Amino acid sequence: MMKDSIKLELSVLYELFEEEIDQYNRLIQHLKEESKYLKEGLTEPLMRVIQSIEEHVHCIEDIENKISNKVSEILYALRGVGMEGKKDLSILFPFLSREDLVRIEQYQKELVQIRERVRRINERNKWFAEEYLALLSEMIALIINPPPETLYYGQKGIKRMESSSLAFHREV
Amino acid sequence: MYGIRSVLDIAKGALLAQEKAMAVTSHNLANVNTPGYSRQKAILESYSPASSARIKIGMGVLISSVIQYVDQFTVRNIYQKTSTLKEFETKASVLSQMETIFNETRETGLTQAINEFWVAWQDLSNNPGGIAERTALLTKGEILSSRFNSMSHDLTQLRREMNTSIGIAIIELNRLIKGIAEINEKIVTVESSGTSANDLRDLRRNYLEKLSELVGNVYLEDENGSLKVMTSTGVMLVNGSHYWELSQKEDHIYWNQIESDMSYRLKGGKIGALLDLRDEIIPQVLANLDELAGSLIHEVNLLHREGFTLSGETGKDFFEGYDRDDYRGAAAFIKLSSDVKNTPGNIAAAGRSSAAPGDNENALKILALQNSNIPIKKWSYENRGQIQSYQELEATLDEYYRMLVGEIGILTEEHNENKDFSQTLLNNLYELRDSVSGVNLDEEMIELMKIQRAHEAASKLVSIADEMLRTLLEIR
Repeated sequence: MMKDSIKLELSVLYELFEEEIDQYNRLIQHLKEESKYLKEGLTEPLMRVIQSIEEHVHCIEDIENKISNKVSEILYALRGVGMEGKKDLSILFPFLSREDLVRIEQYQKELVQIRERVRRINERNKWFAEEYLALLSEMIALIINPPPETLYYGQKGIKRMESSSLAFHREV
Repeated sequence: MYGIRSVLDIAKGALLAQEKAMAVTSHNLANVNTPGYSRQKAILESYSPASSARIKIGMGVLISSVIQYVDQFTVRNIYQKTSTLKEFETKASVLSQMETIFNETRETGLTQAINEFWVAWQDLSNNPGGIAERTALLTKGEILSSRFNSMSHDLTQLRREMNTSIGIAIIELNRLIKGIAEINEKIVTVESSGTSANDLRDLRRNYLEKLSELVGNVYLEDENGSLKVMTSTGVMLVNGSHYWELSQKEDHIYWNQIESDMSYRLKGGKIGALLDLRDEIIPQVLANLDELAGSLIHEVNLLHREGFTLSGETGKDFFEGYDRDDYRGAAAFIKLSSDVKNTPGNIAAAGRSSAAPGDNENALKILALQNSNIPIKKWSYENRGQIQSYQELEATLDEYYRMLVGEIGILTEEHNENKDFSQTLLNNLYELRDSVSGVNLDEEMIELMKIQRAHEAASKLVSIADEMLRTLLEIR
């Protein structure tokens, strides 16, 4: 029979998992907001949401540290010795009941899926940002960078124009 | 020799030049709403001065050329983004159709059918000897099978529709490349005679933009003004007045009637998207649906064969056996086995041969499958199905199916997001292009007034020269 104290520790561990999943879900919402602002090119709300994303990432890191510490504590309670080096959840598996094992596996599966979702939204937002920056570069180039020369077509055939300021137009 | 006659000549030249400039401005005004039209401008140049004694005096004005305002970089970027947008748009649209096949909000969803199948096993385990429960289980098994069959059929049909759409897109592509080749020829002819072919160039740009909607492409302009157009992977489509058509035969696409499939070299645009859907996205979903159906057949049969029927027989299949190396085609195949179909008594609910009718041991084992993790493959198709890999998962059938539906939902959402973003980018690029090439009515009206004043001044010059001539004649 599992001791009540270990059951209590496990319930704290489950709460931490649920908190982590909750934080990841919130992170996804913020990443979706980030997508929206990147699409609309709204820099001020974008900066705000990036700040929130950073806070959530720190928060998730804290929870993961707490989970790691909790695993160590549970292991200590089960075996009477601490854990050195790796603090992987799998180290607990031989000591857990089937019910707890299934529950932890469920959390793990959910976390794997949710992390994959975060990764994909992040990839997409990265692409949005890169494309948007490329567009801005093009706009700036159009205003300030004159091309070396441009072709135009006249009565006497193709001619090459001298470079000129392209502040307002290019001629082809 | 300078005299009043040369003044008249200058005035005549000026009148003609202003009239031509007026025609160019009028052309701009007339095309203010024409899609793809690029603003033009008449370039005025002074005639080289003629020498009279030691004095050089100008000989008036001429229209040296008519130029177009076009930013090639923006135009090129528009083509690229158009390809990207059409790719996402096509994929998002087909993925939405796929979502309706997996529509879990309906009562006829697969989740509902699977749940009802397990509930029927639960009912049977509560009353293993009951014929009503056995018949209900067979009905639920049939419903589940037919749900798999219809989903597989719908996905296969959707895949076939991709081929139809590809065929239509190829006809359009052939029309466009033929058009570009014809315009190339005209541009070369017009420009070799020294005149500008601005409007033909606009027309060619329109064709190129439409071509970009169909497939990702690159192009190069020759010295003589004609274009070489290739797919983004380098397959030549147009070179000057020559063009090479594509043709479709079943799942293959041929270039210039050469019977070697080149569909893998068509990327981007609508055609690229349809090929991705046909060879990668739909087959991957189908493979995973097959995996689910195959695993269900395998796991249920494995336990069912161990159990005993009402008459004490064993070794019976619940679903028709699907003993293959892989489960390809299982969703289309799944059906009740001939052992149990129309014979409810042959459902192996009991765990022992000599069991009482109340023995539900095997029914409970099969019911436990609902919450058991089973080894199941999760297929991934890449590179248009050239690379097919799988990941071994441990999941319940229900979890696996939810994951499958979730992925389709995520993929649809991603493509819709990407489509919206590409549309926004493209709109920005259109604005950028219009800021360079678009006709500004205010600007053109001012230009019109300037030309009108210059024309009036040239007319005045004619009348002054006329008066001067008359004065001279009167002296004589």
